[in-house]
Amino acid sequence: MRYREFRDFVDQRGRNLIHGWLHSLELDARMEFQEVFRTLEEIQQPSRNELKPLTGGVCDGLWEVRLKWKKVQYRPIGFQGPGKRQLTLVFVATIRDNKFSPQNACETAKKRKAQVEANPSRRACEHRYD
Amino acid sequence: MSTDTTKQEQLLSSLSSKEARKAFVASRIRIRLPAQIRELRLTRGLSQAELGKRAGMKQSAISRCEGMGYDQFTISTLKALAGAFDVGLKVEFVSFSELVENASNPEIYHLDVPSFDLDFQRWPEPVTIVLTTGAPSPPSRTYETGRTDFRGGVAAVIPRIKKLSEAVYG
Repeated sequence: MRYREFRDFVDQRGRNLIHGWLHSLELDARMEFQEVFRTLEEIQQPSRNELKPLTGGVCDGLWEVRLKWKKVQYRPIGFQGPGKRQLTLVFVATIRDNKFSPQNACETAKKRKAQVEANPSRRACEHRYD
Repeated sequence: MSTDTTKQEQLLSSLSSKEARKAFVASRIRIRLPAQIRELRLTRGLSQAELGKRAGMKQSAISRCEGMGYDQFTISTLKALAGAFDVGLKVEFVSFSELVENASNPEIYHLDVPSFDLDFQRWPEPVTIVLTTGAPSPPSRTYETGRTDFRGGVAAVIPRIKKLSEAVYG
């Protein structure tokens, strides 16, 4: 059963930035994170330790996938939509000293969310598992 | 929703190196297994403490087992959890084709598997499927679906019938 589907942000030049980020990681991390995305699509009630709505200020309405590899915590940030049961990943932050890095991660995510919502077919695509 | 075929092709293309395949196998254990334990517990309405009691484990141990990334499972622990959920446990070496099929078809291979009682309660009798094209060759062929093919209901069987049909008639 698939309860949700991940989608990836596509920039103005047509580049899938989430796919690009995954391919910037070492192989073991990439394979593990892809498995997290695959599994999260199949979980009815994900744990807040893995998929969490962000609240407070500019982050309101955004979600984060919580990933960790070795000592680095990654936070792919996204929003629910544009379609039903879809979660579009728009930006990837890292966590340093319990804060997003870059600090304006939510602002950037919100701008990209607006871009996706304005043009969902061009600015987002199915999450790629390769 | 994206097609499972596309996801399967993408996954396959990511497994071209031996290192990638090794990492994939590890990730299936580190990520999917803890997630499945949590999913099985939640669908049965159990708390971690209640599951721990059934499995003869501490609540803290259950909590650890449910954390994505945990990979210190012993066979004994898995057997205890299978007993607590009253589900089967399959620990064996498999082909990559099986693993990829499993990973790319969530509509068939659910994280939440039924307990023994529920499983047998909803199993229908094996059904005979006759594939016919109307053309004289190849001739119609008859297949028994077998009981296990019916896991997940008729909707889950349809992709299998399509595959079978393609294999026979191209």
